[in-house]
Amino acid sequence: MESKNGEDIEFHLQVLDHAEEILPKLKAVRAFFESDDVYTDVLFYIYPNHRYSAIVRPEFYAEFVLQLMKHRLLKRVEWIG
Amino acid sequence: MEQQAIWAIIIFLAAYALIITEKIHRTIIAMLGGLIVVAAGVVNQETVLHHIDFNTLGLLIGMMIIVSITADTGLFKFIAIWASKKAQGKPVRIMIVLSLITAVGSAFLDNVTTILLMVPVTFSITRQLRVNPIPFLITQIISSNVGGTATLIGDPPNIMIGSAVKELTFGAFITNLTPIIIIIMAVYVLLFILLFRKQIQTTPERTQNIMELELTGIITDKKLLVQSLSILGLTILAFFLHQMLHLESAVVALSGAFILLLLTGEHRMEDAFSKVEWTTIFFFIGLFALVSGLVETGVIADLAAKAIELTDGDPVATSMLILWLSAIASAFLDNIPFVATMIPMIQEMGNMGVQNLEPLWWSLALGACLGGNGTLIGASANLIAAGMSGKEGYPIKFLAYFKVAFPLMILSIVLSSVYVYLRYLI
Repeated sequence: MESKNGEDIEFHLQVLDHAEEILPKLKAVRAFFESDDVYTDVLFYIYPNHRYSAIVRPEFYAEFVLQLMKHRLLKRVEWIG
Repeated sequence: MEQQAIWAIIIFLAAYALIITEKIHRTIIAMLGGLIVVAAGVVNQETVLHHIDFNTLGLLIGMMIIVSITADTGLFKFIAIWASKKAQGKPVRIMIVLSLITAVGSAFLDNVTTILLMVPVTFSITRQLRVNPIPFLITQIISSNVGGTATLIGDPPNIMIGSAVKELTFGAFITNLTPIIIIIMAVYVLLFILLFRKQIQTTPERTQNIMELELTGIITDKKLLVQSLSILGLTILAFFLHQMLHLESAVVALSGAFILLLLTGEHRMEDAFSKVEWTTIFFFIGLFALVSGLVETGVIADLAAKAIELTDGDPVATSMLILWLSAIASAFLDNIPFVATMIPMIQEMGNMGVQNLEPLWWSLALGACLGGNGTLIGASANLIAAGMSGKEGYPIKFLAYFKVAFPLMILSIVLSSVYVYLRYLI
């Protein structure tokens, strides 16, 4: 689920099935944004029951979506409106 | 005055002026200045090498290696999030808890490294709370300089003083400086709350988000965590015992670093070495060379004689002069070159008959380390935090920082003056 968070965009993710397959991919996306030298581009938060949220700065929105696509965590991307 | 002494002063002042302007990197200036001291024949190469303090350099390199490996485990993020949950997700409490973690971290690692580790975590927490990160960062900068003052390894001025004066052991720094640091931190915590509580309000939902954060998964490498924490703990224990073991602190830190590399495997070596701040190490080398020119040509001895003349050799006046001069100078200048110049001067005062140098050393340590809080350019930790914050879109303005930090710095020096007077001078 995607929502507005001030100027940022917040993604709420929950892994329901195939956790052993999806979690490493999610970790890889997180590692990608944590290894660069911008600290606030995409901030990941871990919650119980495989719930995650990511606060994404607007200028890194496309890159975040591309990373999700690259790791096949998204099947389809569509602009609305 | 001899021609060589005049050259030593000219080269030193020119280098100092260029360091202050910040137009050219301070390491390049210090190294070139040091090389000119040799090339101009002020001091020969052999003598300069004797002035380069391997103990300071070895201690810094060893600790940088240990901390860089420990940081890779995710430990600092874990501690910060755990503490934020314990603070019930409330911004003011989190700000205080993060300040205290920064102070303790700075005492036992070093303040620059601690700031490098704390700033990213702070952004992560304040983003979740949707509060301004600047009060958190300012309180952490101030706490890092205060905490770093408490131990021999916490702040570069202390490393230099501890290295130059063999009687000032790791334990001596703790027993002499930690009590006043605890008092200063307690006063600062109250003032931090008063100054910033209205600027960092959040909603109950966001507080709840912090409370729900999961801690599992933050530690990225448990085996490495056990290895690095074991070695870090043993290294700190060895610092306490270094005089009893007849080991210099550099030998302790470098032993810890290389035993840890032995345990973790050589694949970590390249990465750990790349994280050593070589610019800082070479800055020290250049400064030692620059100061050697002043020492060998008798300039430092002349300055010491003038200082004794000014204070009439009175211990109270000399201690207060050193404490306040160090604090004001360190607020506006880099405290590392200042301390590099003051150390031989105090040693020279001892040669000239000043009996009890101990209050002078503690005055120098307190003045130089706490004085760094006065302005944004006063200490390396300040500049690094401001740089990181500015890059993320939250610039810390020089004046905004000054208005908060300078009065706090003066307060800490007033408290230190009372402490030094009551403990050593009556």
